[in-house]
Amino acid sequence: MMEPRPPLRKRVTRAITVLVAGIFMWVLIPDYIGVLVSGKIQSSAILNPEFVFVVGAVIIGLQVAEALTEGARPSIPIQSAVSLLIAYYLWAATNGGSLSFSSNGTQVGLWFEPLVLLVMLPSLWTAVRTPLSFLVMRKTTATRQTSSKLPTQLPSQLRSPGGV
Amino acid sequence: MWAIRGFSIALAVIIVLAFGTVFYSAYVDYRGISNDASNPAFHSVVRTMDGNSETVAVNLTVPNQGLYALQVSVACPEPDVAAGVSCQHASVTVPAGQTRTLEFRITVANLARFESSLSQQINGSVSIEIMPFASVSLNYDLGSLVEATTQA
Repeated sequence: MMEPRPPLRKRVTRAITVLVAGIFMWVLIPDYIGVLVSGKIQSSAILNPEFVFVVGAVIIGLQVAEALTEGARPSIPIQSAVSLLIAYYLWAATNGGSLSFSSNGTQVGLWFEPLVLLVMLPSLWTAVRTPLSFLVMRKTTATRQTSSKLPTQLPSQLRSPGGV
Repeated sequence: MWAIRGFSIALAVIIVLAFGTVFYSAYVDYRGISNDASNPAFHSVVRTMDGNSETVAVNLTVPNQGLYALQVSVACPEPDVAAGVSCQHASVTVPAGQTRTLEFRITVANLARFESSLSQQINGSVSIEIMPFASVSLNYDLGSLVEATTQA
C-alpha cells in the first residue's frame, strides 16, 4: 500500500534498524542454529553457511532498500521481492518440511510440509497483496477524482452546441 | 480494499488456529502414547515357537486424545530374507478422541539361521502421522523381540 512518504531522516533511521535486526534474524541466528544442528540434521540449507550469508545478505539489502524507498513506487516491487525471498528461505531452511536426524542410534524422520506451507503463506500473500493494494488504491483514487469532476463538467457539456 | 484486509485477517486466524491445534494435538498424543508405552496393560508381546520358526505378535493400544486423526504404522522395510524374516505391515487410523489396537507380526522362519547371523537385526520402521499436517518416522531394531525368546 502506498502511504505518505516519510521524511528522509525517518527512513534512514528505519533502514538502520532493519539492517541491524536483519543481520541477527537472517544471518547470525540461522548460522548459529546451523552450527548447533550440523552433524545431527541432514539436508537443510542452513547447514550451508554460503546459503545463509548470501540469501541473508540479499534479504537484508532488499529490506534496507525498501525502508529507504518507503512511500515511493519502487518500494512495491522491492517489498514483493523480499516477501518471495523470505518464503524461499523458509522452504530451503526446512528442506521443504522434510528433515531427518539421528538420535541415540535411532533414525528419526520428520515430515511437516503442510505446516511449512502455512508458515510461508503470509509472505506469499504479502508478495501479492502489496501490488494489489497499490492497484486498488490507484483505481479508487482515479474513480473519486472522475466523480468529483463530473458535476463541474456537466453544465459546460449541456451548454455546448451539440447539447440541448 | 476491505476484501484484501479481510483476507489478511482470515489468513492470520487460520494459521494461528492450525498451528495451535496441531501443537496441542502433538503434545496430547505424545503424552498419551508415552504413558501407555510405560504401562504393560496397553501393550503385549506374544511369542509362538514352532520348531525352528517363531512368530512374535505385538499388540499396541494407541490412544488419540488430540484433535486430529492419528495414523500409526509399523513395517520392516528390509527384512532378512536369508533367515526367513518377514513382517506383516500394520497400520491403524485412530479418529480423534478414540483408541484403537494395532497388531504387528514378525515371523522368523529359520531361527538357527537368524541366530547365526552377525547382526541379528530386524530393521523396523514406526510412523506416526497427525493427519494431514505432520508425521514422524522412527527406524530402530526389532531384532531384540526375537532375541529375547531365543536366549530364554
